Amino acid sequence: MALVARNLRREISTQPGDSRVVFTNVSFSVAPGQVLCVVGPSGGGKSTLLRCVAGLDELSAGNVALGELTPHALGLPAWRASVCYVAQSRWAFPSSPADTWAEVTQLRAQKAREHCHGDPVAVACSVGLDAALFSSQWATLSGGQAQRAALSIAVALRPEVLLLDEPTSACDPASTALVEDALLRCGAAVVWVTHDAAQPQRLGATLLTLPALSREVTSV
Amino acid sequence: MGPKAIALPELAAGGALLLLTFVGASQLLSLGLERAVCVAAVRATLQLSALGYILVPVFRLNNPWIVLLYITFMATVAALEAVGRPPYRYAGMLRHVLLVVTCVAFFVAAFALFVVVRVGLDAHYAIPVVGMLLGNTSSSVAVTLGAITGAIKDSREAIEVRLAMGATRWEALKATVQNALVLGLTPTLNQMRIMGLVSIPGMMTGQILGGTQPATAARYQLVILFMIATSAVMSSTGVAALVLSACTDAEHRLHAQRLVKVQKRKESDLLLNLVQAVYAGAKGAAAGAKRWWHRMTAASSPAGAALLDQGVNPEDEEESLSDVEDVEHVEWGSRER
Repeated sequence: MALVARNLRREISTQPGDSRVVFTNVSFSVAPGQVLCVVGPSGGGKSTLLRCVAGLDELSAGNVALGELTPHALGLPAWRASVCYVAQSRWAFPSSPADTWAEVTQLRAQKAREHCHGDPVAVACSVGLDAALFSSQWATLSGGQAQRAALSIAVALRPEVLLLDEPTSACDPASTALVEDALLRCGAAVVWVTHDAAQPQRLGATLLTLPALSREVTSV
Repeated sequence: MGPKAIALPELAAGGALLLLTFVGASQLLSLGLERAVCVAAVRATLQLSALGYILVPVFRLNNPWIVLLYITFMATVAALEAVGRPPYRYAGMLRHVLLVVTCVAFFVAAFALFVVVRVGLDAHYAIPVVGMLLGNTSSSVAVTLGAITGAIKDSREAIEVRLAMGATRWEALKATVQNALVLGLTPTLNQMRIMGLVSIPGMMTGQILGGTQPATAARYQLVILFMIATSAVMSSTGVAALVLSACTDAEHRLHAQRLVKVQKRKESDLLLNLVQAVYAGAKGAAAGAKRWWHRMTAASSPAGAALLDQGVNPEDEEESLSDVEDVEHVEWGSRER
């Protein structure tokens, strides 16, 4: 099912009575197997856009749907199990990626789609991450390794949509190529935030540019 | 027959020994605690003496209403104590803690005084018993609050990863809550475990000094101990649930930004806090009454109905008025809507 977003808008109140528009009038649709690259200057609201699509932040206006299914119709946990957001920051768990996989697959929303789950170690190997590393502590992994471990977990959960916030920012070119290849083959609709100018072309992706809104202040 | 009375010069001798040793050690080792120990000793003397005088009429009148009033006062102080310690707070935290501490204190005290000891609201029993309950409840609430709010702030990113993978807010925060509750309840359990091995506990000491048989005193101590543990578990669990409802919403989002760091307050602010709490309670009650009145009249009066039709909530205006705390206002139960 395709992810469809219509007229998304996000405002945050800076102080009582005033608010700042982070992004407005954003519409897009991504079909399974396709990649949409979100580009634009830092602070343009790219991460916030992904968080809003995942339902981790509230949308001020607009709506998202997976085919006909809205987050509210599915329930937010089930929505997030299908529309999986991988943040840019390092996963700070006091355990190993294998433990995290075990924990995540026990979540009620994930158990409901257990039949979809793949093998995270196989995915990890395909992006150049050693199986042994998958069982070592998160804290001992390098930035690029931790990034690929988190990505392996998200991909192996086989969501319909992957929302990825700079998933290769800490990877070297060889690992980046492996990650790009794995994500193109995973079958999910991918929304990919990137600062790498050549990446959209390599991925054959559609482009969505978020302009830097000039700290627009509106009175409510 | 009561214990031997302590004359003022005798009390002064005790105080002098404390000050001598403490100031001596502080000077010797440059601890810088001279001023603190003097302030603490003077405060304790003034507070306990005042308590002695306040309790005279309360005990003499022995009126259930006055006892209830006094218990409410103690519960408020206990809630303020508990709220003052954790490093983070959120709008409405004082109200949450007041609610939990008061409800738990009244419930457990009622059980102790009407079911276990069966003396009713006799001031001689009720006030010391509730005082001990509240003292312990206050510290377990403070530890639980500190542990939960601190853990939510520290493990915010891990919690959000769980949410992003499809966790419900309970699934995402379960480990945090479990750790905080274990931390909050462990001192109470330890206290129960070593009871009577190392020292004779305070209340039992008091009763023995007052001429009670040690066996009777031991049973009283046990009742108190069981009630303390009961109120610790009830209040910690209650506070944990309220913190969760304040930091998350029905859409399973985490609002860690609602927890704000407290600037360290001076101890003397307790009095100020007390005044503020009474003020908050009174305003809250007034706003509640007003809201109820609006609800009753809005349905029938054309003006109210018109307001509702326009989507204007007549409650909104009062909400801003009733907001005594300096951060964003949180209304009861509004998280679940």
